[in-house]
Order: sequence, then C-alpha cells, then structure tokens
Amino acid sequence: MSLHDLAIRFLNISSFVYLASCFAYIVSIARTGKAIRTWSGIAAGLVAIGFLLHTSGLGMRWYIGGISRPPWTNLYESLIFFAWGVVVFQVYAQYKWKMPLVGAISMPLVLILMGMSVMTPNKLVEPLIPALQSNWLKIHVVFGMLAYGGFTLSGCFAFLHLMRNGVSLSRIGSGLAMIALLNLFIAGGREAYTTGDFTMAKTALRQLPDGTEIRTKDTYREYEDGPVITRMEKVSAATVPFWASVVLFLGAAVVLWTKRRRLPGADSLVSPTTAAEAAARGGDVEALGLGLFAGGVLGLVALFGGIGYAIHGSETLTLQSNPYLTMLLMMTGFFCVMYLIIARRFEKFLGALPNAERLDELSYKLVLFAFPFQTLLLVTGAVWAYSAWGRSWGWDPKETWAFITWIAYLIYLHGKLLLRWRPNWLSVMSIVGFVILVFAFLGVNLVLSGLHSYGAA
Amino acid sequence: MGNVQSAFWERVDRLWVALASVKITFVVFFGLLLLSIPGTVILQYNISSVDPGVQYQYDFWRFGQIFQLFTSYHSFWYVGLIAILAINLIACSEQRWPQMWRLASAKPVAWARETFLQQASDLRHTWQTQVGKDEALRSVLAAVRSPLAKPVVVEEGPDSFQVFWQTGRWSRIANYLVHTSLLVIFAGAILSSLYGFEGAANIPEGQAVDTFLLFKEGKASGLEPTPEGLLNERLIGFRVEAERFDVKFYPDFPGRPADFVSKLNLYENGELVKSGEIRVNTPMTYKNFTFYQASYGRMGDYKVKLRLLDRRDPLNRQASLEGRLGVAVTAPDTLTLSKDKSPVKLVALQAADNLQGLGPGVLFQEVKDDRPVGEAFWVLQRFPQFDFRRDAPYAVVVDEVREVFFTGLQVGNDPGAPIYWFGCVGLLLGTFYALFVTHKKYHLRYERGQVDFAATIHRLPMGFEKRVARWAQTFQNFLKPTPGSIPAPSGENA
Repeated sequence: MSLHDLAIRFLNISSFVYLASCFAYIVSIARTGKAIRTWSGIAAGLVAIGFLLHTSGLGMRWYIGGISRPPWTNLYESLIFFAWGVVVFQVYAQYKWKMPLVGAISMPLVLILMGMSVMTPNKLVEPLIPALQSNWLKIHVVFGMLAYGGFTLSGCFAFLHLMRNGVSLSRIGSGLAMIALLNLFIAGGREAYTTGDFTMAKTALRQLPDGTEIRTKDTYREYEDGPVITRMEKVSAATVPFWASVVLFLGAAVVLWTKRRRLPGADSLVSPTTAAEAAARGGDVEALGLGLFAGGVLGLVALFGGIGYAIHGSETLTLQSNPYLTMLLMMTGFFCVMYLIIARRFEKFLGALPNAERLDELSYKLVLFAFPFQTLLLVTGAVWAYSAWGRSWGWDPKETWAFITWIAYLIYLHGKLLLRWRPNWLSVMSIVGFVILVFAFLGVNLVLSGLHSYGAA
Repeated sequence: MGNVQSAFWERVDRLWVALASVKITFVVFFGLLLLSIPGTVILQYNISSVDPGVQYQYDFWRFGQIFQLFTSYHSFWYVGLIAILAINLIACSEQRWPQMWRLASAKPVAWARETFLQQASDLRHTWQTQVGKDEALRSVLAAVRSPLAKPVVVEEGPDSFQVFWQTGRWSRIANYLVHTSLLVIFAGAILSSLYGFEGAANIPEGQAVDTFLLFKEGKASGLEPTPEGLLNERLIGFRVEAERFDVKFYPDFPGRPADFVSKLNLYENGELVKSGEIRVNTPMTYKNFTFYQASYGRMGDYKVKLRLLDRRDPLNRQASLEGRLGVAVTAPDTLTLSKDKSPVKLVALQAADNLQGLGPGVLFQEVKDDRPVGEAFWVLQRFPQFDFRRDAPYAVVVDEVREVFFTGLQVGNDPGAPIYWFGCVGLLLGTFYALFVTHKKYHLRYERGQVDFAATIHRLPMGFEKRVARWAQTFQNFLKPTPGSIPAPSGENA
C-alpha cells in the first residue's frame, strides 16, 4: 500500500472514530448523573484518537505533496482541513473551558464534513496549478480555517445557549422541522412539484472528449477525463417517502409552533413539580408534534433507503452529482435525530450544561476571536488576487459570499455592542452566520461557479 | 432673514442627527447581506463566463437591464446602500466622538473605598498586612512598573496610598480606526473606478499588439479608442510583443500546467523601452500599466527547427532552417538538391509532440511552384538517421519541434490601490486591536495595613478573574497577609 493510500485509509478511519464518538455523545446525553461524565469522557477520548489519525493523514498528504503544497488545495482536502479546524476548536473548548458537551453539537458537523470528503471522487494529491503556487495559499487558507472554525464553534455554543436559556423546546423543534422542509424542498428538485416524482442524479457521469459517457470511479483526474455532468432521473422508490416526510415535517412544524410548552428555566430545574406542571400544560399536543417530527425523520430514513434501493452497481452518490441531497439531507437527518434524543432527555441535558450566561459569553468570545481572521481572510484574498490577476476585488461568488459572511458577523457584533441585543437574538444571529458560512465554504463551490472552483485551470 | 437662515441650519442639524441613527446602520447591514446575493446567482457582465444577454429570455433580460441586475455591484441600489452606509458612518462617528474620546482618554482617578466594594467579588481581593506604608508603596511600584503600564500614585494620607494603572484603553476607540479605514477603502475604490481600467489581450507567440479589450473602464481612464476597432478596444500607446511563451506540464499529470511564462518586449515609438518575463503571481509594470499572466491557449501551430543535409557530404554541406506549420522554407542557393537542381523548398504540414510513442515528429512536403513534389514524409526528432533511408538527394534532420501557444495577458491600472491597501492595513490593525484587546483598570489601595485590590475590564470578564488573582498573589508575596485576613470566598460580601 502506498503512502497515498495509507493517508486516505487513515482519514477514512478517523471518520469512523468520529462516528463512534458521536454515538458516545448521544449516550452521554441520554444518561443521567455521573454516567454523563463517563460517556462524554469516552467520547472525548475517541475524538482524541480520531484527531490523531486525522492529523497524521493530513501530515502524510503534506509530505507526499512536498513543502510547497499544503494539504488544502482541492475540495477533498478543504473539507478535511476545515473539519480538522473545527476539531481543534472543539478540543480547546473541551479542555480549556471545561465544556465536554459542546462536542455533542460540533462532532456531528465534523462527521458530516468528513463524510462529504469520503464522497468526493477526486482524492489525488495533485500538483498545484500556477495560480495556486503562492505563499498566500498557505496564509490565506489558515486564516480561513481560524475564522471558520471559530465561527462554527460559536454557532454550537449559540445552539446550546438557546436550549439552556429556556427557549421553548417546541420552538426549536418547529424551527428544525422548517429547515428540514426547506432542505427537502430544495433536494426534491423542480420535478417533484410539477410531476410529483422525486428526481435526482443517480451518479456523476464524465463526458469524454469523444462524446461517450462513463460513470465516475472512486478516484479520477478531472482534467484528463473530461467534465463531470449530472443527469436527473426519476427515483420512484423514493417518491412516497419523500412526500411522507414533507407532510409529516409540515405537520410537526405547525403543531410544535402553535402549542409551545414553556420549559422550566434554569433555576426551576431542581423542582420536579415545576417540570411536571409544565409538562401537564401542553404535554399532549407536544407529544403529537414530536410524534410527527419522528415520523418525518423516519420518512427521511426511508427516503435514503429508497435512494439506496434505486442505486446499484457502479452508481454512487457523490458530492458532485448531488450536492443538495448529500449535504442538506445528511445534515437534516443527523440533527433531527439529535433533537429527538435531546427532546426525550431535555431536562437532564440542560442540567449537564453550564449556565446560559456562560454559553452566551463563549459564543460571543469565539466571534470576537474569529471576526478579525475573517477580515484577514478577505484582505489576504484580495492581495493574492491582485498579484495573480491584477484585480483586488472582482465580486466573484466566492469572494462575495465570504463578504456576506463578514457582514453577518458584523451585524452580530454591532447588535451586541451597539444595540445590546438580547442573548437569544445574538445566538440566532450566530447560527444564521454559521449557515451563511457553510454556503460560502461549500455551497458556492458545489452550486455556483467561480474562480475558486478548485482544481480547474 | 437671520431667522430663516438659522431655521435652515437647524433643519440641517436635525437631518445630521437623524442620519446618525443606528436604525439606518442596521437597515444597511441587512440590505447589504441580502442584496449581495442576487449578483452571485444571476449572471453578471464581466464576472460570469456567460453573457446574460445570451442566456436569459428577452423579458427577464429587459427587466434585469432596468434594475441593473446584471451589473449588481455597480447598480444604483447597491452603490446607493454603500453611500448611505458611508454617510451614516461619518455621522455616527462625528456625533459619538466626544463621548468615546472621553472614555478612552479620561485620566483614571483614585477610587473611594466604596468603589472597591462595588466591584465583582471575583475581581476583588482584600487582606491585612504588617508591611509599613513606605515599603509597601516601593514594592508595589516595583512590581507594577512596565513599559505598558504607567502606574499613578496618590498619597491619600500619612498612612495610606493608592496605586492605579490601566492597559488597552485605546481599544475603546479602535473602532474609529476600523471605520476610518473603511472610508479610506471606499475612497480608494472610487478612485480606481474613475481612473482605473482592466483589460485583456491574447498574443500569439512572436506577435505584438497595441490594443487591449477592456472589460472595466473608468470614466477618466484616458485611453484612446481604437479607430474602427471593437466597442471596448483601446489603444494603450505602445506595442506589446510576446517574444516567447513557455508552458511546462507536470509529467505525471498530463494537461496540468506547472508553470507558464511570457517574455514580453514593450516598444514605444519603435524603440524598445522595457522587456521582462511575467508569470502567474509575478506581474510587470510599465508606466501605469501592469501586465499579468492570466492564461494561455493552443493555436494548433508548431515551430520547427530543421537542418537540410546533402546526402553525399552531410557533415560539410548542410543548412539550418526555421519554419512554422504551413509556411514554406527554402534552402540556400548552395544546396540545389531538388530533382531539377534548384534549392529545396519544404513545407511542414503537420507536427506532433509524441508520434506513436516515438517522440516529436514533423510531416514535411517538398513543394515546387506551390505544387507538391513527391510524397510527404515524417521526420522524427529523436532519430536523426531516420530520413537518410528515403530515396532523395537530401535528408532532413529535425532539431526542435515546439508547439506555439498564445499568451493570455491581462492589463490593469488601479490608481486607488495604494489608498485602499493603506485602508486595509488600518482595517486589520483596528479590528484586531478592537476585538483582541480590552481596557483593563487595576486599583490597589493601602490604608494602615489594609490592602484592597480590584480591577475592571470593559468587556467579557471571562477568565479575567484568574489574572486578577495572579496579581493579588504577586502583591501578597511581599504584602504578606496576616493569618486569617483573607476571608473564605463564600464569606466575602460587600
């Protein structure tokens, strides 16, 4: 086995170790008392092992490519490097700030990034095209990692803060159901709303210069084999689960929104009567909402089952063929499952968290840290573009979305410093910023095109 | 009359105050957030590779033209938002300045004992010591003095003193540096858009141009349109010759360029004024024009260096020739080796970098009066004897076969660049200073053996209590607490 294959093997194994740590986090949420610490300790240990494999995989790729080619020059490596950055911030938060449970939110994100990297067909350590042969590549991307990693962890703390600060569980559930709906709406494709059939690209195809089409293999060279094209096909096995989960999530969104149960605040946690009272006030309706939500999640699972049934042989889902499906549905599925588990154990989960002020402070502190690096990301990008193409700012989609991300956190900072927004609104803004960031990082490359389309000459 | 005027100025004043509204700021922020998006989804002139006019249906295109959707970032609505932001920023800064300046420049004053007691309990330490006043003052000053902190001493009475110092106070107004830098960047961008231009030209190797096609041109760029040229074609006032263009590919990754470089010569009024090599990330500047190596492309053309040899005396009777595909080269009169004893005339018809795995090869055809003579024949560079097998009085040896590319140059003039780079430096310094540095104040009061030490921080006290505790520890090393004088944390209460 070559060093190249070994590096990929290491990175794949680290994804599985991260997956195991996610399960350990789920168990730690579901347990009580001392078991929470034990299981979050196990989870943290698994994260440490995964991180070692992850780091050595990146290191090997750097060694293969040589000193001037850092391991963050194509889509595959960018995903892995961003995930690595998030883990660095998570480990720091876990040990320095004694926040073991933040991993329960950030680790699924890391896992999704790693999962997406596994699905990226082009895993070669390709030499750099001239435009990327610059020291700015190293500086620019490292600043990006610091900014995006910080913002991501800030979003995780903001999410924990929203839960801890007594935002109604139903409201969060309703919000998640709406996001799931939106994602399904996008993933279904235009066909779903005109003919009712779920459509998707079963696999990515490459068009060879002579016009023939072949399916993508696991590893390929983009420039040699011609462009990747997608062809939408009807997947009838997925149509019923698709519509079922749309209807169920719609129902969950409405029911959970209309009947919200105020959960006991931080201080009343100790009093079981308050919790019981609160449960009695709207428990049944909420149970209905949660049931619908669970049904929606099952529908999602069935949807993936249907897709799996329809795909066989050399057809595989790849990031290039189905960016929405893979990205949005994976994320939706994971967070919905997490939500259901947390909802069952909400009070206990809250009890394991520090107070809301501290969560808010940590989220804010991370924005304070990351924002200057986001500014540096924009400025170094401009300097680099100026030296390579003679224009510092060209409004190409990648630049513009990095700028939009910057504006989002600008709003966060001014909301905090100038308007003294309530912590809950700040947390919402931090999460909105994170969603924009994800689009700036991945969506632009997968959905929109621009100069940053990695690997294209 | 005077009344009318004062009423006018009053109105201006009121407007100025209204313009500093934070509501405007947030409307603009959210506006920028949302209105930046359409330009990344809808095709843009000069940004997208596809022309919106070609791609969209006529009705949408008309609609987009009216609302300037295809030039989003230069549209009236986007530029208008930025203009409002600039005015709002100036108004806000001007009206808040006195207050902010007072906050940052205020000389700290000694605290009353009550002020110490009002501080957060984890930022406050109190203990008794046996150390006398003079020695206490001396050792406190010795511990505190540093290049960053200038401690102030106030001797409040015969047996009491207070020492206080602060760090990072300018971080309170570092936002002014950030905001001013943003305005500087705007100014640089305006200058660039008025006087600057960006254009491109593809120059085949060995040829020269004196016009560029501009895709961005300021109103005052000062460039002359090319007579009878395209709408956006401009004369640059001198000739740019691409003397040579080379591209290297990675051996294991065919088609992936490792490096490309152009040797450029600039001629003004027929005289060579500058020459040099440019490659990606290393441009070349002449006058206010900067040339960037942006791309390259194939032309299907090859350059061939060959030698024509007399078969009877190949070592002494030979001639070196140079040609391109489709262009006839003629041997000198000394080598009259064609069948009718005239100089040989050859045309290279075809060339390949790797002919069936045998390396570079060229297909030649002898011609006479524009008519082919005999059959075309391949000559391989790696096998010089190859052509000697052919039945002819002469043989051809190929010394070099090189594909000819055109070099894709971009030219730009960005007069605002020094200004906005200056602004960027300020923006970065200001952002880091404003967000990484906090204004901290430390006060230590001594009165007859009673020591009060407390600190304040203007943002995020998280973790600061540890630093305050470390300071307290430092002081307690020489202002030794009497036993029992440090109350347990729970008992500590104002």
